[in-house]
Amino acid sequence: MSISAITPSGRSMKSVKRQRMVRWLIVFLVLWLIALLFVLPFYWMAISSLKRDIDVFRLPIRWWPDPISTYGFERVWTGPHPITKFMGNSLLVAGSRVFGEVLTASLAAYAFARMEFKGRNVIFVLYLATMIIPHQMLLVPRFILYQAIGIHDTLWALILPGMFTVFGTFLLRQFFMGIPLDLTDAAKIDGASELQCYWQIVMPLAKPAIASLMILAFVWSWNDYETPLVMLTTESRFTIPIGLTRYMDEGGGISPSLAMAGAVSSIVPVMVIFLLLQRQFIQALTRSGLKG
Amino acid sequence: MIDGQQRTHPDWVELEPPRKSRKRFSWTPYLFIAPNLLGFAAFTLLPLIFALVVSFADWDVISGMKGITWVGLENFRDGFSDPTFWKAMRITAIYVLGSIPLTVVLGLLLAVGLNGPSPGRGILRLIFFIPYIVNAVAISATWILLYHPRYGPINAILRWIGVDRPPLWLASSDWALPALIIMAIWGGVGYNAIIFLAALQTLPEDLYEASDLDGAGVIEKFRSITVPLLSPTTFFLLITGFIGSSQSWGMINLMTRGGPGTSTTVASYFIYQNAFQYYRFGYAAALSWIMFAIVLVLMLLLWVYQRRAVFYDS
Amino acid sequence: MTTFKTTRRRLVGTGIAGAALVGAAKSTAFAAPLLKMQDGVTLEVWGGVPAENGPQALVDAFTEASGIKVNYTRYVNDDTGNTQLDTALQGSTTVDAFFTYQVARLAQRINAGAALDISEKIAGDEQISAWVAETDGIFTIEDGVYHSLPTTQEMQFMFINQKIFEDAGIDVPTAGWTLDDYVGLAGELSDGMTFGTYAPMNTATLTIGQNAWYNEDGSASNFGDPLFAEHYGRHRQMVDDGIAFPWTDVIAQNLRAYAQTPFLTEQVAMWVNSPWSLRYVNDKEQYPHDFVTTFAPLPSFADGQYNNQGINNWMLGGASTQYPDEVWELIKFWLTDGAVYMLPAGKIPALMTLDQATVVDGMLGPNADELYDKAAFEAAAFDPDIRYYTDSITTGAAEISTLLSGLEDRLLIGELDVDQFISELTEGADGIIAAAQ
Repeated sequence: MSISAITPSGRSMKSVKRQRMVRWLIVFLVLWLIALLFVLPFYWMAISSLKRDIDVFRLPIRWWPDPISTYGFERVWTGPHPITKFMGNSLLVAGSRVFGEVLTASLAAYAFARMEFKGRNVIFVLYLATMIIPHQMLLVPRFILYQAIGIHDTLWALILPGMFTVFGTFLLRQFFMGIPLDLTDAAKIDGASELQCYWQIVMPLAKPAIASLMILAFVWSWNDYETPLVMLTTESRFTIPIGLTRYMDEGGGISPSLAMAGAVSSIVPVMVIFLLLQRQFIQALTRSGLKG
Repeated sequence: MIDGQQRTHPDWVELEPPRKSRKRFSWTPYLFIAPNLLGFAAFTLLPLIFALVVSFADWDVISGMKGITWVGLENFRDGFSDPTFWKAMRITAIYVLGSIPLTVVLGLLLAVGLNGPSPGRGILRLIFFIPYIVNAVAISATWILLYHPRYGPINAILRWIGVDRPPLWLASSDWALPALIIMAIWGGVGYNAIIFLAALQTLPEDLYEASDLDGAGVIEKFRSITVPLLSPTTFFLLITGFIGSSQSWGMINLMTRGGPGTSTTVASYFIYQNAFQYYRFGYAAALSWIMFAIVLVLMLLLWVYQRRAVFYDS
Repeated sequence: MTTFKTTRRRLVGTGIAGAALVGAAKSTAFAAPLLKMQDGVTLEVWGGVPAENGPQALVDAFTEASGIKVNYTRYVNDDTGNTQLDTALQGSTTVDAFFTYQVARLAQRINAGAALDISEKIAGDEQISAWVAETDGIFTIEDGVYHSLPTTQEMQFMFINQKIFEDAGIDVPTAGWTLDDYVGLAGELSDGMTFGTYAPMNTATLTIGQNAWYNEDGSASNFGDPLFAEHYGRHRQMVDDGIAFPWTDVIAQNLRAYAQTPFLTEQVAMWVNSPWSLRYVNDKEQYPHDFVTTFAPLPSFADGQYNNQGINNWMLGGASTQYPDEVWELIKFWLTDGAVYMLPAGKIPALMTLDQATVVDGMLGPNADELYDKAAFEAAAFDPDIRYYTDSITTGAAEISTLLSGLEDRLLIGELDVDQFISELTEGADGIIAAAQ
């Protein structure tokens, strides 16, 4: 590359500046070009949601809805399968899962990170191994289990397994390990129990990690398609993704305007959360992906 | 979110060597892990054991538990000699190798591009990232429209730039898998870029300054500093990506149902079909175990490799 | 006529069923058995039709007439939906009655002991036993032992865009037209933008009839029969010639049987389909169109040809139900007085107790005069020559059907030729059958 061939001493300040400028401009343009490609699906989703079914598969292709039809949205929000119902279910499931997961995972993580006990490593490896098990292997056994204990086709079928996750335990264990042992050791000398150390010292310090877990668990729960597909039957209990399939196949085939109006409606809440909590969100992902 | 998998960093697996102490036995740690462990045992371990048991049997669900017939290793023997299953494994390999490495590389490039100060960086980040947090049903429904050979905007653009016979995408055995791979890349690049971005910000400035003094160019610095320093992150993204995308079947179920023909029947979808379409639950369980074993071995091999090749700064 | 009007009002949500209907129901089927019914019974019923398209109104009317409550659960009639029903049938969830829509699943469920034996109930009911005796293709796994009754007739006929025919100056075909006429017309009506037909009917299965996929004793597949090569070859040729709808679009849009959009956007002139598709034509808001839909019976292609595997939507009692009497009352109601509520969903009653005019009005909706040629519909749907069949062999049917539709896709988008198609299909299906035995 010509740029790298020039030594710093051979360059005037001006040409360095100009080269930086050109480079910056190229990067900028390329980035926006790619961004345009990335946005296309969302653009198409949005305009298709405002078309009539009959106009979606019709030539010539229309890049703008004409006539604009709000039928899809009306039906999605006020029709026989209102998305508000699905959203309520999704919120309930995600909320309960997040609460339960933080509680059980933080307790377990505290033990794994800050206590010694027999079998700790064995249990931990077992936890780890289950993470690469093909998910579909669990579907049928879980299905039968839920029927046996009577939670099949209830929201508990989604909530309960989500409350006891390996992932949450990993995430928090990692953070807990970073909190100096001296802090709790000192408290213990003053007579604090492990439970007090957990609740009064470690948990407050771990707030950022807990926020991360909450965000991730919420989004994963909100988006889960495969579990409710198999576990739920009754429409009034559907969560959003499985509810969306109702719009996809209401007539048997794809009803594009309904499906797209449903899709748009379903991603708005997640986008709002992302925009509001962008920093925490990225931190959460980073934490799930990197040390510390 | 294309794969819906949960990710964790390989480093976390590092087991802490037991601290040396001679405390007497206490129930407290077990009480702490009890809620999580019991739930885990009930909802993951128990079903797994059932899946193991049933893999030695023929079972069609509808006949109930009394309809279980034990067949020993037959399901596993059938699995090893089932050409459709191995074709599905091959398709899985193409899907995974076609999407994940490219996603990681593009994610890295994007992260480097986004790392400098540039106007609209926040918006760009949002744009690239959004696909990751959108549910699979919304994504699939949208891409079905995008890929339509006649009415889809993708082929409209291709025709406009002069491609006479644009691909038929989901309606072609040759293009359906690439179409799914493109979607997977679209869905995963933003996530990868965000992880890389965070990693980039932890890289020591002084290394770059030092190489500036040596007269290294942008490309040179990228190659000799950025890439090696980011290798733990790269490895993490590759391995979690491999696992996640080898397990995904929801998208296939929504978009192609494994077709045309069997061109997009990945192994996990084939397993799903055997269980839920053909009611061969024992066979499906056996195939799952075979697949699990293969993934496990591959991951261990990668693990050994990364032990030697990946650069950790500590 | 008055009965129907009340019904429709109720379905569009502007009022409750009129006294006429309820009165009618009470006075006929229900007067006697009502006395024996237990109070406070709630039946759990699983069906594939969305509740608001008819079943809810039907079970409400049933409750009103009998005092038996019904909780209708809609399951999606796909793989996961059916698996859910099956686990419910053998598991802890109560299912008192349920619907089944594929013969293979019907056989599987009955053979697994999931269904209630209703032979005695049928024998004890004069009207229904007479109907069962005279109707071909009522499914049994053993002579004289009944577990299921079909509620719906799904005949096939041609939906025709009258405007395209008029513009081309061609007469709409009528009974007695032939397969050659059909292919010829499809050619004449195609111009690159419009396709003469969506897809031809399967002349192979409709000529052979029962167990068309299997040889005599069900030990191997029957796809080597030249009728299959002939049908699939014809379909492929029609796609290649641009006179049948492009299969690439069918795959891309996930259309298969649901081809209402191409028909109602005037992209196809002739469409072989069944009455349940009428509701899309009725839906002027989502599918605005300004042509009249007319109809023709299927063209003739063989002596004694069948029309469809056509009596369908089987209703069964759950084997573990505690209320067999109440379940039987519901089945009876669904077959007789309740059938009127299923008309807007395009379900022609299997047991025709309603008069034809009521059925026609119920199916064609309030704008029938503007949307349809009513006389042509009656001629096509109530053609006395319609013959149905029902399979009795279902070995590996789910797998064969996946194989078939996968290969069919590849044939029709030009990736296989007919010979390859037939040989791969035969080989695959034989393997499936051998493995399943």
